[in-house]
Amino acid sequence: MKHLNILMVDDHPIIIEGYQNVLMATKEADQTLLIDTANNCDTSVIMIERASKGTPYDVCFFDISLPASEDGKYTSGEDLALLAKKLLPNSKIVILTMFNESFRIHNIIKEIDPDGFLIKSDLTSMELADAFQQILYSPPYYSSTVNSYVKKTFTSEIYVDDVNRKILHLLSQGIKTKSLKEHIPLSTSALEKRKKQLKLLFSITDGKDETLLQEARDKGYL
Amino acid sequence: MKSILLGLLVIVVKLSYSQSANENVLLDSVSSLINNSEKNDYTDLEQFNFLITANSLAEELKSDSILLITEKKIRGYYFNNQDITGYIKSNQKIKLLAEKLNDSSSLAHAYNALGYAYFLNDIKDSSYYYYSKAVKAFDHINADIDLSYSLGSLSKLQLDGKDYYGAGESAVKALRLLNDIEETNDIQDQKWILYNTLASISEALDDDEQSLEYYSEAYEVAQRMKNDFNNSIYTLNNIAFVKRKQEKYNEAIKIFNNILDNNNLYEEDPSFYALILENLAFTNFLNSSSQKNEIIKMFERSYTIADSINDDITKMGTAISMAKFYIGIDENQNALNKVKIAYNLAKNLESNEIRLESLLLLSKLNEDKESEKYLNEYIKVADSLLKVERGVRNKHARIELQTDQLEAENKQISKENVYLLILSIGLLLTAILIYVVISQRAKNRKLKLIQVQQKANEDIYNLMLGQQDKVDEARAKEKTRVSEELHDGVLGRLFGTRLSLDSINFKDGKEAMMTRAKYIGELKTIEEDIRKISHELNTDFVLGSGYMDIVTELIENQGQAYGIQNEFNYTDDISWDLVTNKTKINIYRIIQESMQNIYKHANANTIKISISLEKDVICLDIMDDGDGFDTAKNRKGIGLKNMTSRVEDINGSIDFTSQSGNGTTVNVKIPYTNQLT
Repeated sequence: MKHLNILMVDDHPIIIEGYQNVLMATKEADQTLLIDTANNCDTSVIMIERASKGTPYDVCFFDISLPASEDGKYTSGEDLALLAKKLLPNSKIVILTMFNESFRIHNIIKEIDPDGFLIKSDLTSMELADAFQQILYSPPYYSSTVNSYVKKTFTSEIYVDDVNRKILHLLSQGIKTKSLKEHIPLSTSALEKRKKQLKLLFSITDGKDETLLQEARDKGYL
Repeated sequence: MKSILLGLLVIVVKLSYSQSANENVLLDSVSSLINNSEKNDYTDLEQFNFLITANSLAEELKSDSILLITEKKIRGYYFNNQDITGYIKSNQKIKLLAEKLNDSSSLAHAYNALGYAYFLNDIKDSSYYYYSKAVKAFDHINADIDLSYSLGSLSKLQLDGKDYYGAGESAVKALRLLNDIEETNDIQDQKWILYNTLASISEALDDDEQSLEYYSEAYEVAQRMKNDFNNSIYTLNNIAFVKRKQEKYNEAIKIFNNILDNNNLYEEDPSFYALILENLAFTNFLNSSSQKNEIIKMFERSYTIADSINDDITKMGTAISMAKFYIGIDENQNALNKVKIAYNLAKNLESNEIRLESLLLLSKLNEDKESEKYLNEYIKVADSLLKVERGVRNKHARIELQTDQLEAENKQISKENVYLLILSIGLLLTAILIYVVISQRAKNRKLKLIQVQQKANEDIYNLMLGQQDKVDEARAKEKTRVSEELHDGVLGRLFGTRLSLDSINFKDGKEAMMTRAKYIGELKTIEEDIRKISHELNTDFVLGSGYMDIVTELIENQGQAYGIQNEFNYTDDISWDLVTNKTKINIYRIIQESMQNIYKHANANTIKISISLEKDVICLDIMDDGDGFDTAKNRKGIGLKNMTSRVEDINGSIDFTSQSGNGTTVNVKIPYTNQLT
């Protein structure tokens, strides 16, 4: 009999319920699952800290968008994942998120390097079950969207740094160039320069933002 | 024959003139007439007639310059024929023409000629007048030689009038002018004349040494001359005369004898020969060196020569000298005879000096009553002479004074003219400057006003743009909110439900059915949520609020600042997006201006403002409960004027209703339908 301590963090109880339903239905015969759940950052932090002192979690599931902690220290699943990595070095970290933009994916892989990275829209119950088992024995597991992103960026020769990625991301969300400085701590002229560089990088000849975004999307940067 | 030809020519000329009236033909005729007048084929009279015809043609031509030329030719004719009256007349005409044409050279020559003519006519004062004019005129055009001649003539006239000082000055000036001039025979002659004049002046002043010096200068000049017209012997005579006066009789006699030794003198100039003889005789008598008979012989010879050539002057001189001689040797009867001859000649010749001398001798030679008679006559003549002399000198002085005064006056007038010109130019410039400054200032003021208004309008426009930005921002925020709601709320729950439903596939039986029903219910809730979001999306919460928000803010801020209660009602029927910015800006400004006026002048407690739409007309009403004003009187205030012009600018109308104490209502009507233009 194998005991697995699991933490599931999501702000929608119905999603946690879904996870539980799937995992309970598909677990191996010798596995016993002990699942803790949390709906916000504060509860999660308490649980992670408690686990670090007592029985550590074997697997932690984190959603990205979560109600922030009251003291404002933790604002998303990313922060929680980093905390868990620090306090529970042996536990497997799984990110489950609705976000499927390349920028987010890139950042999460870079910052957290999770054992499992699943985009919710990719997910079926079968895939979740498979992922769970693979994470336990041979991590990492990336769902199809993440996989295709990783493949694309590995094959691409274009190097885009984080700030430029963020610029591309913000532009793709319809933020105007002059408002970019409200999101990135750079001057407008510096941002303009970076945009010009990006356009050179992606060989944009007509100078239009739209073409840049299209090209970035094609190359998997968005 | 010649006169017929002349007549023909005149007829031809007249004909050609009347037929063609061509000026060129006339000119040709004039020049051919002048040419003819210079040909020696014609008699003087014929030549003169040519000139007269030419002159009348020139008059018809009305060309003063041609008239001047013909007139000069006529003058030349008069001069050659010694018709002095004609000469004077012609010169007067030339003078007028030259004045008209501003021909200073011709004018100066005309003056000079007139001076000469009057001198010949013995009208000394007129002569003096014209010579002094000529001097001024020649001096003005720097004609040195002509000036020198005029000055010489003037000097002689002055000497005649016993104005020795003036005469000396004129002669010296005339001489100086000739210093740098090349010495032709004529110039030398003029110099000789001038030296003689100077010597005469000195003589008259009893400065014999000076006189001798001038004479020796004159003699030198005469010696240099190629053709001296006997100038040197005349000078020698003069020198001898002075020597005699100085009682150097021997020297005088030597000189006289030298002159008489000159070959051909008697043939060339018998009058002068007679004069020298007389002089020699008289000097011999004074010297008492010669025999009485010899002296008488010389006198007689001189007298006979003078008589034979009708030279009354020499005859007179000889007679008076003989009379003195006879008195000297006590032959009173002979003396009386000669004196009477001299007296009569002097009276005829108007030679006053000799007349006086002879009168004195007569009174000496006669006795008692007869003597007294001559003495009285002497005194009378001497007196009248003195008077004449004084008169002449006075006249000269007067003429000089007059010309000087005239000149000074002219100078003064031209100076005044210059001042007047400068003054008027200055005034004109000042006027122009003032006009420019004033107009520029007015322009500047206008421009500044326009600038200020533009700035205000811009501010409002920016305000409106800012409001638009705010609206856009709010819209964007709303979009994000909806997106997040969809993403986190609906999508999450949908995912959870899907996953759970999926997991139920692993189970079956009744429990599974129950669970499925539960999730299907969950789906229904999600459906409801989506409908709600969709509904929220459908209603644009910011629609149409932009402009009215700005106005509301203005009214609130202004009211707060002024401490006046305010009330603002507006209709949502007006779609402000369709209203032009110009109209919106003007409505804003009118409200602003009104509130300012109310604060400044009305002492109001509350303001009611309303914007409504009535029959496609935007009605803006601003009411206050202040003092009010007399609408008839205060129409012209800048605030009201501004508001009126603003309303007119957007094709609206404005109405002020007010009664003292009852507050004021401003009613603005702006068409709504033409806003799309």
